[in-house]
Amino acid sequence: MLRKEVNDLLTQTGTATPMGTLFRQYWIPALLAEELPANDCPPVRVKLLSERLIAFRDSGGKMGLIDEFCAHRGASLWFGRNEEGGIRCPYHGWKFDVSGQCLEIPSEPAESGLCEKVKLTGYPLVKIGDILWTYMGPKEQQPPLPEWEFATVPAEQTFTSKRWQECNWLQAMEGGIDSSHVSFLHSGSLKTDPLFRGAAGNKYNLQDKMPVFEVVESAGGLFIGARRNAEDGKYYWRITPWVMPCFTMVPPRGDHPMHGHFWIPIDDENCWAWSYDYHPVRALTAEERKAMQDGHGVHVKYVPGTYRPLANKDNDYLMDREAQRRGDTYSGIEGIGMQDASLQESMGPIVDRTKENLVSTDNGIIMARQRLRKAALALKDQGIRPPGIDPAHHRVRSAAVLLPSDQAFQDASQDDLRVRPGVRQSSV
Amino acid sequence: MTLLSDCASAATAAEARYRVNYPNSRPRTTRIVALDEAAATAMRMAADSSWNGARFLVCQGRSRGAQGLDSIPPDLDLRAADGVVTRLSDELPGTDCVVMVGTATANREAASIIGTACRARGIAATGLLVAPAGDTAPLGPALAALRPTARMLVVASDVEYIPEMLAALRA
Ligand code: FES
Ligand SMILES: [Fe+2]
Repeated sequence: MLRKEVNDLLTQTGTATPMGTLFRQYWIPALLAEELPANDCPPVRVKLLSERLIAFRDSGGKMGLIDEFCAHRGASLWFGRNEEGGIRCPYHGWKFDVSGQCLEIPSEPAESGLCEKVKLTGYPLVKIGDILWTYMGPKEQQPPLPEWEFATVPAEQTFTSKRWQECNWLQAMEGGIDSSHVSFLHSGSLKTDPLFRGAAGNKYNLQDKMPVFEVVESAGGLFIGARRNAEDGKYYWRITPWVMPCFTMVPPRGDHPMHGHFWIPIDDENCWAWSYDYHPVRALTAEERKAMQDGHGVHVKYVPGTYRPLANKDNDYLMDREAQRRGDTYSGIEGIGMQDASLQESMGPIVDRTKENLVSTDNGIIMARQRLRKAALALKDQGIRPPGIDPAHHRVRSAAVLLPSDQAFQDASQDDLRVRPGVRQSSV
Repeated sequence: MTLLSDCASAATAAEARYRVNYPNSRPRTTRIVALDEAAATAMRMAADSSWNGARFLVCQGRSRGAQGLDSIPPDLDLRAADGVVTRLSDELPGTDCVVMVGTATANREAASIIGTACRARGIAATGLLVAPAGDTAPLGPALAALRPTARMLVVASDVEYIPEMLAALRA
């Protein structure tokens, strides 16, 4: 249960809201690099944190994210001509560079200097891995670039996709730290999905549907450990890191690539679910990459030509009651990503948390909410910069390990839970 | 074609407004037990707010039997906010949820007695260890005492997490 004021605080990310200001402290994924494939390619409309923007790549390869609407009379620059070092509004010919600076006002004498006084809001776009990242906060506070392992390993070791999710970012993100749903909602996929099946650890999941949880704070957020019984008095631990504000990583299975998500607000009723998959020490196999492109694992199949999932709320997510009855899928929806998205969207665009009945196994969610609220208020009231900005906080890994029953995972698995370049993930 | 009344279409703000607006649960009975004095101090700050029937108790140690010996089966003396001492075995009937709050010096025997009693009665037990940042006392022993019986173990650096969690759990 959450009071309405706190629900509003955590779910609203527009300009001048406390959570919006918090999000504007971080580098966040804005586009896939494939969306701006070449110099002078078509511009892309991007809505982020409730701001309508346009991304483009100029003739020299520079990229930027600027106010979508022309400073003259407000036409969308999506119609613009991307040419000769800037984007030109086709209405009256005003031209802007990637920083939003006006370069030309054809109707005015160049000597007037008016165009120097015209500037659209602009944010940087930087390619790291498969992603173009942006930072939408005050220039003087721009932090160092992100160092997430999935984005910094060689290209052949990593794959990233994104999908449009039609609900608020927080209820999507809470799914990523809600480890207790995995034994139910995703139980079918452990046996069938090419990106999960066959791991030695899967048997513990299937044998023990009542894991026990431990939640501990980390410098950048939380570690959430789910523990099941294993042989010889050992425990099988699946440990999920959450890094503020919205990065999570699923515990690995065998030698399968590791994966996780970012949940980035588009506006208060929509978000991008970013899904990455990578292997810390080896190239993805052709089969793995194909499976990811085909929408297996945490990825999805799309409505052709879009990033909207093929299974979506307009077609009831292609619900298959027979598959549900047979137990091939627990909910009748195909694929991990859409199993989560369908239920999270079904809660409504912004779930009413005053009506929920949380139980003790929901403590990961409870603590994440508290850390977010405290960080947003500390930033607003005292200017304190939140956790998760420091690249050291990015260098985390999830882990799936067997530990003696008397050991605390946060001590015994310290090395498993941090990035060790060139060292394989800790996974059974 | 999906009808407007189908649940999948509740994913519009307009449809979400029609969510039934009656209570969907009855009040739960929650017992919060401090396992040491430091935890009792932290808990007392939370106890001042208004709660839905939550009772805040401080563990006083093993109850004594008739001859002044440790009670068998093991029981605990618990001091309520008004100073009245009750027994664990009297507090648990009708309880839905027990939250044990402790620090590095938590009474481990008490943790194990409470956890075992909860398990026997099918009550969900949660362990919450508070370890302020900079506090270097090892939590291992306290965690080890709670781990066998708690459905959920939380380590928090902030005493404010106590009321935060209780409010979330409708205590
Ligand atoms: S069982 Fe968790 S939302 Fe329904
Ligand atoms: Fe999920």
